[in-house]
Amino acid sequence: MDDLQQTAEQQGSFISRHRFFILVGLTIVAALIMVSVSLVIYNLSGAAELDLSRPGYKEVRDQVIDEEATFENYSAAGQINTTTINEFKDLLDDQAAAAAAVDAFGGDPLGPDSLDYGTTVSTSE
Amino acid sequence: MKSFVRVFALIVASVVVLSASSATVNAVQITPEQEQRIKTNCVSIKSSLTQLATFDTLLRVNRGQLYESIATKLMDRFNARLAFNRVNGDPFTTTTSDYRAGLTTFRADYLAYKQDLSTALAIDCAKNPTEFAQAIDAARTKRTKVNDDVKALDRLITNYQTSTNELLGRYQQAEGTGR
Repeated sequence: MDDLQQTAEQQGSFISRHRFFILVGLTIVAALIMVSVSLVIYNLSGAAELDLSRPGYKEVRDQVIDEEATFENYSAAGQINTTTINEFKDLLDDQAAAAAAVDAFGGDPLGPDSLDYGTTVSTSE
Repeated sequence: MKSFVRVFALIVASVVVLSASSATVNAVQITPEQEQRIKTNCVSIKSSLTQLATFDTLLRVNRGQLYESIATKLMDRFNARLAFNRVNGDPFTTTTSDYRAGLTTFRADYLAYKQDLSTALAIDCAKNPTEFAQAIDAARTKRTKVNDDVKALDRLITNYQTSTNELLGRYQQAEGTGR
């Protein structure tokens, strides 16, 4: 019984003597866990695929179009008449033209011809 | 208990057979000449793929912002104004709803494409040219799907434009007749 009490006292004194280092250690472990979870979410959510601040995207970073600065808002409040509909129509026509200007993800850059490894790739049925 | 185990085993076997058969259908076979070309041009092919991945990311960011802005800064606001003025906006809200669904599909399909492209880039084409060609083919199919999504979104914008023109025509007619 005395031995048990003595061991408990020793443990208590160990924790109280090293509490600062234990606090630092637990803080580091907690930080590592949170960073790991954040990185998993960053990758799984697809944010990593769109993050142009990564080193490989340096050359195209300045080609990002800032829609906040260039895109004109249409007011949700106000009357509906030929003038206001025409105003909206002009805004929509401009953006529709911008969207239709480029055949996004078109062409066949992943085709064998484009990648220079031949003309015939057969698909087995 | 035995019958439960048998049913479970049957389901597992069916899934395995179906997976194997679909993998066979999607398998791409390349000729020995193509295999040799992939091995020889491995570095330049990888370089082209890396460049494509970079520019596709830029395209995705710009397109995503444009499509999102069209929805939030134009469509939603015009729908709200129609509702505020008690104008029937059913064609507009239906198109906006379809457009939002299309935007979600576009995002998901792009992500799937990018993951396939990353898988292809991770393969050593000098050592595994067939596996590399198969991964490229998978990414190619997904990229076509992304292109289809873009076209679908552009069609929905055109639908919205058509509805706007029809509404404008009705108002012009009404103002012309003095109502």
